[in-house]
Amino acid sequence: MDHHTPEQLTQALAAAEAQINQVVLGKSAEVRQVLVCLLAGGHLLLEDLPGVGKTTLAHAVAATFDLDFSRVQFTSDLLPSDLVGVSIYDQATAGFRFHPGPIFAQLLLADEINRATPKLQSALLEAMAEQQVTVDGTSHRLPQPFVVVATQNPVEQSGTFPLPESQLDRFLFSISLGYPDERAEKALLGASDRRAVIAEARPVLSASALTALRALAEVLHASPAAIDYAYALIAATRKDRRIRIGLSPRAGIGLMRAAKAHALLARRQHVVPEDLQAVYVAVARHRLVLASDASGDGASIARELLAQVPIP
Amino acid sequence: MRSPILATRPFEWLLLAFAATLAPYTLWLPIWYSALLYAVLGARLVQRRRFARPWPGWVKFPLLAAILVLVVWEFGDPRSRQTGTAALLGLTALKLIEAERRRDGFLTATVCLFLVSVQFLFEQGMGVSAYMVIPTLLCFLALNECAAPPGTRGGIADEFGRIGRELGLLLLVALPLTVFLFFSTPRLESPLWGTVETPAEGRTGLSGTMSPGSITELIADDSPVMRISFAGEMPPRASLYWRGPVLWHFDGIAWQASRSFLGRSNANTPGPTRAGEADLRYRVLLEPTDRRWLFLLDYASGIPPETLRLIDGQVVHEQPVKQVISYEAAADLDAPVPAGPFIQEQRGEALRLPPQRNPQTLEMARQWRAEIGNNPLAIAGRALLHFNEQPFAYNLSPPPLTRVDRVDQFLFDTRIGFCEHYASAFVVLMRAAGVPARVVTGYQGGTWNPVGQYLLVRNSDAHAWAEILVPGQGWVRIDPTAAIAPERVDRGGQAFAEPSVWRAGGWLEGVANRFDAMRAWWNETIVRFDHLRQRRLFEDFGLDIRDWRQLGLWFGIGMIALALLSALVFWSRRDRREDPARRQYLRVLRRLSRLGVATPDSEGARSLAARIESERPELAGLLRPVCEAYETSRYGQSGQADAQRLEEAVTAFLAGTPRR
Repeated sequence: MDHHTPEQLTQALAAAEAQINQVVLGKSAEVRQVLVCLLAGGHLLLEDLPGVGKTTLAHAVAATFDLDFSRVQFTSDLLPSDLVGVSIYDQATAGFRFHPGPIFAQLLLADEINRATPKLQSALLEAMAEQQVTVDGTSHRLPQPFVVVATQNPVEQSGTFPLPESQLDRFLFSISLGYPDERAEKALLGASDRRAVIAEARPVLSASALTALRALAEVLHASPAAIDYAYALIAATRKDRRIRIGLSPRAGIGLMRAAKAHALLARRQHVVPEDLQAVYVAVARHRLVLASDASGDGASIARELLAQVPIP
Repeated sequence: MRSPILATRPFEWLLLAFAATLAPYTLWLPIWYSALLYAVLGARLVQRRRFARPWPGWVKFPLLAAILVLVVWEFGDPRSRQTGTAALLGLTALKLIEAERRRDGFLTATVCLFLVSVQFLFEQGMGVSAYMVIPTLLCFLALNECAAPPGTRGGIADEFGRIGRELGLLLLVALPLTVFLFFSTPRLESPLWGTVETPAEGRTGLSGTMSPGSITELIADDSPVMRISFAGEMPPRASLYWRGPVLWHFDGIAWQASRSFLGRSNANTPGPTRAGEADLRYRVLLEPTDRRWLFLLDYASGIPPETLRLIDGQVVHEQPVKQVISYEAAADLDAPVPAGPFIQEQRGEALRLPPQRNPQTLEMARQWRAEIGNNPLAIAGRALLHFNEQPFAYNLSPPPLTRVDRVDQFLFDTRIGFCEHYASAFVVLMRAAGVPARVVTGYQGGTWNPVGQYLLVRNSDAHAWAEILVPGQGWVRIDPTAAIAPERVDRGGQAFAEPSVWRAGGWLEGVANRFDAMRAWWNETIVRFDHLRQRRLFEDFGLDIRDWRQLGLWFGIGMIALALLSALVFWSRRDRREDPARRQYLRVLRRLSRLGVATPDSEGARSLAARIESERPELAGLLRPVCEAYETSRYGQSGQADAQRLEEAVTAFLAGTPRR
């Protein structure tokens, strides 16, 4: 399981992808997106109906990359201390001792994040940004790598606290799994329980290998032409009248990192326009704040921009 | 940089702008040509909305050839402005067929703006000028839409305010420059387009011949001929005879100008003369007639410079009047026209009649001569008495004259007619009685416009009268029409025309007068700003522009400086030269477009190669190395080897694929 050369690492990556695809059927494009997000060091927002395989996907990723997995169902009565942990007075040591909460995991599945109160949401998002939590004035490092996969139900909106734009910006990717196609769904119906399949999944890459892969992606070559195109894609969101708030510079940096990760997954040494195109919608869709009279959603407008913006 | 795709909305604005630009040209373009161009535009609109495929070459090129051939066949001389303009209109329509890029949009909109200004070579009237604002604004709108990046524009209703503001700002910036250029652009003494002589382009007006019906046609035409402002009081309308072509030669049907030297100028002709103190002074603003005659009151004691007085008293301009001109003159209303030189030749010409025609008329005139003797004025009086006593009637739609002896038929049979019949019959009678006589055509009277304080003469004021040679006095004007229908002379030609609310007495007369006064102002201040007025204006600013060449020199220097400045701005904005790898790749894309393969700007090389693999497998083999090499040299950490590989792949592709 230990890989050293970049060649071995990328080969193992392909094997990891194949294994996840065996667990999550018929979603190879989305699995690719999840892996890109993971390699780019970003957090993932899954916007989907219940029961389409969000948890299965998160489990499969955690198992494949040998990540310490934890899952929290967000509700409106959940308190920040329920997530990050509490300091409790320990009579034996005559001092406060920190009991880490479920956030101390390498892959945290935050289910229905929009059901939590803003207070809890901001605690989670702070942790996502800083890679640490602060309790009673003491900072605690989160385990590395630390990846949050948050889910949102786009249909049921009552009793939810929609995430503010500034916090959505902390998610590198937003993707939607959707229903599987006919073939995959029939296979799903005929096969055994997914939990058993996940249990069979063996780690293909170690957490340290993931860190090494991230470093490889980071240094991938992006030519001036590719940067020009990335800039054109970002600038287009700021000029379009259907969009009230376009992509931030942070989103731009994320776009470039995701494109590099995509290129790495495709085993290229450099970023090509297709890499940027492949990750653009996932980077942009949750970040675009649309004008009140705009028709369509962020994803459809992002796809339109992709078709309009010429490659320089 | 490859120009971005022209979006649908700017394209349709462009189409509309061109359709609007084309509209005024349809007034003189042959109807089939206008219809063809509009049909091309319509077809293009449908094609662009419904079908993605561009027009194939086998449609475009024959269409191009057909348009050019038809234009030359229809208009003849390729140097004339009609031919050039018609061809440019056709080529612009064809350019719209293949306008797919923003650059095409800018180009076509600019050409449309040029066509808007070309229109003024044909027509400078206020109505058309006001209309041209519409295509101009549409062109600006199309330019503005072309310049907007795709997706940044909403519905036209939402954007109305924004587009209006942007256009308004642009126009505001352009206005001072336009005014400056209007005053400073060198005016030539004669327009350049006058260099290729074209026959009078269907303009109505007096023509130098008078055949039955030629004046009725004019009387139905209300268009203005000239506007006259008098230095003092306007004289009575009945005394206003605006002298036009003098007709000597009668063939039994039509009257024509003299074919001998009498209709020409001569050194012995009385030239510009100094008018007496008591003479009537007035100023004329003459609309373009495409002919040389100026219309002056008889007897013209003072004639404008740059004009010639012909032997028969007619005053002509040096060149045909192709744009509004203005002249000042003086008249002695009571004086006859001097007989002038070559009196024997004039007498001979003024007594000639078509042989063996109108025996009854000749017989009657001979009787008068025998009764009265050689007294021209008395014979003329006898003829007028005859018209008065016999049941002659004035009517603008008389029964047609069909017999060979038309004058006989008119004098003894139908007895219904108007000025041309009476003038013609009168002169024939005079000649038969041995009195030298000739027909004079021109305008009589006019309509006073109290708003603009001028007299408006329309084509409907066209008139014909007679002159007889009285020894010792000269040519004396006799108007036989006045003997039959004095109201024609008193109230003007409109007294007999169809009544209209716009004319004298109509309830909209005031509106008509105001509108015409505005037209007069337009002609006086805008259209007639010529080289003389320009020189005067610059003298007011202390600049001595002795001739237009000097002005042209300064103007040229200014324009070159402006062009250099624009170029400087342009080059400083252009951040860097096109990447060499991209240049190579674009050559391949252009070839693919010609081969009917769509090459969207948002498609990467890798995706293109993959798509061609399934769509056009026969091209895929040559295209794949191009796309791979392009990708590595443009996006990879490339070296010289990649560039070499790309160049080879491109060369192989271009060599291995058909040109179209």
